[in-house]
Amino acid sequence: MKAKTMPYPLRLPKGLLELADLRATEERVDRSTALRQLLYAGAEQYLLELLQRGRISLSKAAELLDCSTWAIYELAQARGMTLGATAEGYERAKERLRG
Amino acid sequence: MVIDSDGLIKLAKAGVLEKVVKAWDCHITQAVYEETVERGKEEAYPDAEEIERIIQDRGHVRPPSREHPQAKGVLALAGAKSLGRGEQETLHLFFAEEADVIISDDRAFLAVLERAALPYLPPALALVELARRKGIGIEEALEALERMKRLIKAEVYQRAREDLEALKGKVRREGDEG
Repeated sequence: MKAKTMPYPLRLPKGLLELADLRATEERVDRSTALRQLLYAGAEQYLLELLQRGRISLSKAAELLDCSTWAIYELAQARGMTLGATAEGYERAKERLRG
Repeated sequence: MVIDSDGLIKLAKAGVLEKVVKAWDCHITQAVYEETVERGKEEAYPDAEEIERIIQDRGHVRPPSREHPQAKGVLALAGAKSLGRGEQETLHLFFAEEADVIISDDRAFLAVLERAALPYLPPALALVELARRKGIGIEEALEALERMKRLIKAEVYQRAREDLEALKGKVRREGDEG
């Protein structure tokens, strides 16, 4: 499934554009593609941090990155992140169950 | 009970989803089905097909619903922006089906459930409960917990392991007395 795209005007530091050009040469892609790849990598990392901290949910993360929930788990595992309830949450759920 | 994507993934990876579905009356929403099964199959995740087999065999997928007034109230108070369609529909389905509990391990979703004082089961605790209700043997549950280990927090793995070991001890003592 191809993600929807839309144009967005943006001023970028010269160094970042040079980095994009380097990546474009290395990866044999055009400058715009290289910039999108760099932006996407940063977005993935930020989104996983939000997910780990419980600021967004798994389903929301999958919607934002336009992928399956499995893919989000795979990305988290690749970065050594574990997602899920805390021990306090586990104990509270247990208390409520017995309650 | 109602299961969200996070719960489905962890129970499937642990190899116990089928036993959970047999032990309890389980439902999932259309949104959860789409983001986990349909999208997972498109991206060639083999566990997505396994979930499809288990869920479709028993026809537990419910059509889209975002209309339950109690769910709307909870989302309005707790803030729906952090949740995706999957968790929001799960909450609506929980009220619509008058379910007992939601299986989820999603911190953002659990925070909403906590604020609304709604019952939830993290998958590791669901595994302990399944063993307590004899829906799975204790040794088998310990093996499943090992498969779940890399997907859950180490502290939760430890608590669930202690609970299963305690249950094992209790069953042994009852056997000795009987």
